Amino acid sequence: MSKKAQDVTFGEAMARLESIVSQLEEDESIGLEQALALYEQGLALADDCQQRLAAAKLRLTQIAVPPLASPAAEPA
Amino acid sequence: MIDLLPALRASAGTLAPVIPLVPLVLSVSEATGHIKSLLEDDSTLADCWVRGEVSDPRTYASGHTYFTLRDGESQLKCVLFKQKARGLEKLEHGRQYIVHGSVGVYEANGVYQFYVTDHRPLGVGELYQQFELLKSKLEADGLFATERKRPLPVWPKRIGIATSPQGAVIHDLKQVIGRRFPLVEVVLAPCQVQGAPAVPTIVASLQALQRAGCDVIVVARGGGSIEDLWAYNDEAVARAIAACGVPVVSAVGHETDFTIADFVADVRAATPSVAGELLVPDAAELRRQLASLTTRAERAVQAQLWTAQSDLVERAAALKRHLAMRLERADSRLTALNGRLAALSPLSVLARGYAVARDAVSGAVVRSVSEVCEGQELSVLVADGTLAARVSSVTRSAHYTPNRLVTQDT
Repeated sequence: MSKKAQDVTFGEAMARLESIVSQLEEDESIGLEQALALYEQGLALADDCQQRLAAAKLRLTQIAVPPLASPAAEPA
Repeated sequence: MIDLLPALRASAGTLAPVIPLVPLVLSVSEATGHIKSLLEDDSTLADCWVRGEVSDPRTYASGHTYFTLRDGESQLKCVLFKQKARGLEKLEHGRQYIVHGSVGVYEANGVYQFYVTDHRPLGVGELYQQFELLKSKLEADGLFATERKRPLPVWPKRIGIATSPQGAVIHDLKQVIGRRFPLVEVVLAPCQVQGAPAVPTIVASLQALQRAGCDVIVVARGGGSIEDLWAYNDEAVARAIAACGVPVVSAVGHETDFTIADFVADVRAATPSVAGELLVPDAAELRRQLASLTTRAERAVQAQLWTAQSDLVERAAALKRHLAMRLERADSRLTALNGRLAALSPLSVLARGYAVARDAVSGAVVRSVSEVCEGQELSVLVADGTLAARVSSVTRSAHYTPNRLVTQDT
């Protein structure tokens, strides 16, 4: 993979894993070496996803909302 | 005026400030009187009903009541004099009313205000009528069209929430999202969820959340009366949702409450908790999916290994077969050679009646009469054994020619 694991979002990792599995299941032209390499990659992705789910903690931030700019400036 | 300032500064000292020669200079009272007559002579303003939310009504010792009537964008200062208040119910803060009266100018303070003669709270019936009117208007504008509805992102990264920072709604959303998929970031843009300030603050929150880079936004509020939920039936809120650059989920009130915001939103969630479920995938389900994907990968690779193994076994067997065939072929060739060898053996010639004479001591084959002398011991080999013999006489053949068959005895 060209990207490092941290740069890949959870969704991207899941999508990559799904495509690896269907390639393993459907592509009969891949050789045993490639199949084993893909399998290892898939396992690493699955592990990574599991760990992310286990480690994540929801982040909540509150932002300041500036009042709407009204067309005519209101006197204070 | 700003343009004039440098010119004035330049002329200061040499020239007295120039008072423009206007034909008419009004006193404050004259100007105010003019404003008053303009406003009070207007036939619409002299006798009208105004709809809005009553805010902060205060009755003073004089018995007069002062309050503000407002909607999302504007406010109108109102006065209800003691004499007019007789027989009218007490005004409730935060409630929708229609108010009757006329516009007047209070010169002492230089303000215009609405002198109330009558007021009625807007009943559920009127609110419902208003709701239906706005609904059909927005529907005609195409704001509810199904083709406008956008799907929610499958893997949201930043979820925006426009709701009150206090209360159960933000707590529930946080709880549900945190339990299901804590990998997202939640951004809260606080807004008022009821009363006149609700509309502009909801609109401002929606805009702030878009600027904050949220990829989906929830407009949420807990349950309440129809009046409590009224801001979500406001046109400005509806238009802000429709104009939002990312999908919007509405989660207002209870399951049975439908607001205009629900019709405009891309997805309506029955409650804030349901919104949380619609927004993010469930981690437990994801874990099952991951396990199933892992199993599928294992099976696929196992199948590959089995295929490779059976290929190997097959090839080994073929190799073995090949080898056996080669051995057999070599064997039969050997047998054939053996037969030919046997046919060529001198022993087989002996079977036809020839004999080989050899010197009994040295074993040398006798090829010529010159090699023996009378009385010499010979060993004569015939097909099935040997004879011991002694040479009794030696006779040289007269016609012997070497390398020629000895058949020409004449």
